[in-house]
Amino acid sequence: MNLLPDRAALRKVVLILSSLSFAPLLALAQPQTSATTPPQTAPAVQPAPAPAKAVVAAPAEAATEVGASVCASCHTEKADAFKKSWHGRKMPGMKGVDFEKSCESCHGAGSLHVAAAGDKDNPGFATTLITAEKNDRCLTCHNQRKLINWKVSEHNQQGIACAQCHKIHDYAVEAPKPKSEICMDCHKKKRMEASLPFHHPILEGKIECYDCHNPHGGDFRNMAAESVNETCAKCHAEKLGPFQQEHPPVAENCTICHSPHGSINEALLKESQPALCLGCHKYPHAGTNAVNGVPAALLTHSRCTNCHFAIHGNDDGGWFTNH
Amino acid sequence: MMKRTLSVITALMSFAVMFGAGRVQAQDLTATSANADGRFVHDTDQGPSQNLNRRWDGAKYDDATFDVGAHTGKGSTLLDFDVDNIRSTEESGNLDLSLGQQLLIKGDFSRLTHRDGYIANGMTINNNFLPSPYVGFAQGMSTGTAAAVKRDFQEEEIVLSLSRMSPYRLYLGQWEQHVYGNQGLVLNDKLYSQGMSNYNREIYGGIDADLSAKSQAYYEYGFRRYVNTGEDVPGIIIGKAWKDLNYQADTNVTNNKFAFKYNPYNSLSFAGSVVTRSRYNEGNGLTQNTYAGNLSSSYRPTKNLSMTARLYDRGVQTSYESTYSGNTNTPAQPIDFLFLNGDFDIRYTGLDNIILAGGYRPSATLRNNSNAWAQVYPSTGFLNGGVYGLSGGVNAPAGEDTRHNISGKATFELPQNVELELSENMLRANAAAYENTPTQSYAEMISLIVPLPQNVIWMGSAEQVNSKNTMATFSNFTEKKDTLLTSLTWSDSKGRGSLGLNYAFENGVDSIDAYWSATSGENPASGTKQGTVYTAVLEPSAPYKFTNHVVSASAMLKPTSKFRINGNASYTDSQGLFSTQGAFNSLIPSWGNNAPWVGAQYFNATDTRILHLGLDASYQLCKFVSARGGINYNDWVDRVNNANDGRNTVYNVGVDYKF
Repeated sequence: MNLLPDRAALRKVVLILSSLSFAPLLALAQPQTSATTPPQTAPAVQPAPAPAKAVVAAPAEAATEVGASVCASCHTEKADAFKKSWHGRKMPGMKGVDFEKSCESCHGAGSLHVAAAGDKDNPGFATTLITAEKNDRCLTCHNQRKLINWKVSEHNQQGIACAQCHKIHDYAVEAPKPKSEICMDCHKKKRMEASLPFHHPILEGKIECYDCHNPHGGDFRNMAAESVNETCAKCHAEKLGPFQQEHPPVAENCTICHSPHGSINEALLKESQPALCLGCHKYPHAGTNAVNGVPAALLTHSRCTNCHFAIHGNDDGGWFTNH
Repeated sequence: MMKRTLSVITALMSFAVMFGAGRVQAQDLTATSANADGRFVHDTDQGPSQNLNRRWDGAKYDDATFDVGAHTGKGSTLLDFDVDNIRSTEESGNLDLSLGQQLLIKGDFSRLTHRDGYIANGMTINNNFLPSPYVGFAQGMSTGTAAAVKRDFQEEEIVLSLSRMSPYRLYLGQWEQHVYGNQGLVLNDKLYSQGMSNYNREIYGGIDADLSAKSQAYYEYGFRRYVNTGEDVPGIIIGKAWKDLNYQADTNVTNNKFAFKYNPYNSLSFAGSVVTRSRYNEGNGLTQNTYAGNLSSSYRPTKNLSMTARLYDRGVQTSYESTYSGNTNTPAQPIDFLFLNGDFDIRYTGLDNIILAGGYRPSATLRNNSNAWAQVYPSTGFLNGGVYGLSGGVNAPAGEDTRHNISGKATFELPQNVELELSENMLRANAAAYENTPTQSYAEMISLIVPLPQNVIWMGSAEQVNSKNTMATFSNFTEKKDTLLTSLTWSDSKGRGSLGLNYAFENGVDSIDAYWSATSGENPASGTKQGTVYTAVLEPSAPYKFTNHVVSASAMLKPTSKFRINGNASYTDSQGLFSTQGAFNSLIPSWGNNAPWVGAQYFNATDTRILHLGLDASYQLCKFVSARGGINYNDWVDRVNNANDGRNTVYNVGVDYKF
């Protein structure tokens, strides 16, 4: 049996859980609440030793349940933490799963594991499952509508486990790690973009990755809405009109002009003005008065939107100037 | 605050009804935690530059602010002590009420409020940033940018399950955003302040059902309304509302959504959705209808092979006819869009120590009426592959373009647990949608993860992207971007400490041929280029270069199980310049002296340094209570305009109670 999928998944778990968040919070950083505390390091996890390849035979008999008390006799700290965790407190009331049944409701019957004195390579133990099978166990209870696309999502296709982002057993009195930090443990390039001078306030904790994205799979790739524009329009409603005078790239896709995660330019533009505008518009203000050969518009404004401020569209015939 | 109160009242009323009916026992109720949090903010700097420095808090005064709050559930509910300049508050909470086996009510709400203003963007004239947004260009033109914007978010959702084991769940939610502040404008050399206030509210509800053990579906209806309540400038702006500078029409958006999933086997899944939206602009009477659908499947024939296919279809249609009569110019008919996309992915883990993944993403975009602007404003000047309008070139987007994106990735498990990843991404398009849209692109990335002794892990990656538009009519757009990421992490095996160092570097060059015309006439008289006769054309032909460096470090120390300290620091260095010095290609002799000055002066160079330092500590006082405090220091330096420099120090304290 090829253990590579689990090995790779374990390494990713190790990397994610043991890597520290890099906290390039800007001068724009805000009073920190518990939810916006600079990235905290995840609980340390011993790097998984390379498992030896083993030929695992099918179990001679089916495993039977032993009860969580038996599990807790060895996994004492885990059991104690689980009792205080969200799962531990909610499962009896919401799902009718008492503590005695809680461990094996996810990890499977443990008699073979006990008989093998806790050998992780023993057949019938949860580590023999591939990531998708482990995730299926979570999905038996977690059937919220936001998870409806999980099986066709990019994260699932890439073999990401639920446990890589979500804490299952842990309990903490202090605030949990902000969710965007979890995303940026892997998406390091997005952390860099969010550190640029102009950015959505992700690192400041005023907006989370999931405000625009659905990490469990969306109706359009990983977006929270069915398109990029509709995702942006939830907060920036006034930008979509519809307008009498339409600016075509606005109506088509906001990311034609904007870099939503962060940019060196104001308003998250991909390029500074007027360079961005000159990329599509040539000879602007041709025919206008020039001073020493320099167009008047260029002399007095270095940003096209100083005058064309209704650049997303308007209802006046004045070329996006609303006058 | 009112919304939160209503939510709590609603929950309490349900609670009271149940108690009154004698159907609820105390043990049937489960509630969530409560926390208390205080935040003390002290600013060490003053001046208008602070607004740009702290874009999201923007405190300008050397005063103390203090918030006291009580957390419930996942976040915090703040009881505001409005001493002075409370910069932002955050309230959130949730409540679960279960009535035996019959009823389960879950409620979540959150509200985020920025109570002090900041400048969304300032005014720049002649590349000089003007700290006061109220000063504008005075030549009879009106312009305005937001001077101080405050933003308030609020979201609540209640899910009602008819019974704990019921397959049906009803849900109702509302979301609200309020943006308010002031906006400056100049008209006829006079400065005016104009109030700005708009609401964006959405209510939605639906039913979510487990149709069987293998299928699920839900239907949702939503109504969103955007209302602009900004004030006019008395005595100055006369006429229709659309002439106001802050004019933003009230808009109504209704949407319907149906989504499903069906898993006939563990290895085979289907999912899909249909979403319709109708957006109505009350100001001009236009309606925009959109529909979007997706049909997706995933198939895992073996444990080592997985495949996913997703098809997307989206259409946008805007009505042209309306009774709107305020526009004195003939409007161009809006473009209608049809977007077709496909995502096909495959991943194979059956080879020893190698994971292979590939993807193919085709897309087609059809634009109806894409040449509308050219039809409305016909060319009276010369043509150079595009349309030369009355005041410049208006290049119509392509009526149709098809794009193909192919990617491949290989992950190698090397000795000593080293992991090497190689990936390649290629794009091809048959037409340039817009002048700055690539028609060809290549992206390569290599990543290495190396576990080192003593629980240390090093990661490094390098990526290069090369894009160009080979079908542009004039811009000759090209882009090259290099990104380097590296990190070094260490963590204690018992979770008592960790350390992380990170460096990110990004360097890019965008090139376009940008044309300015300096002729006083519309018909060019001399000079030639590409076979077209024109005169006095300024062609920068210059690259836009940008470079970003981000260095950061963080550390965690947990000397005891009850005490934890976190520290972090970061330094960001960003530069951007549309460099035209020495690269101007002018056809006018008189430009020779002016070209470099014009280029460097008017193309908005940026040069920013940002330093952040932070330290936080938390201590568990007893089983369910912990206390925390922290300090953060931020320093912003703008080397292009030192008027933007600023720094601040923020303190925060908090108490958490969880039961």
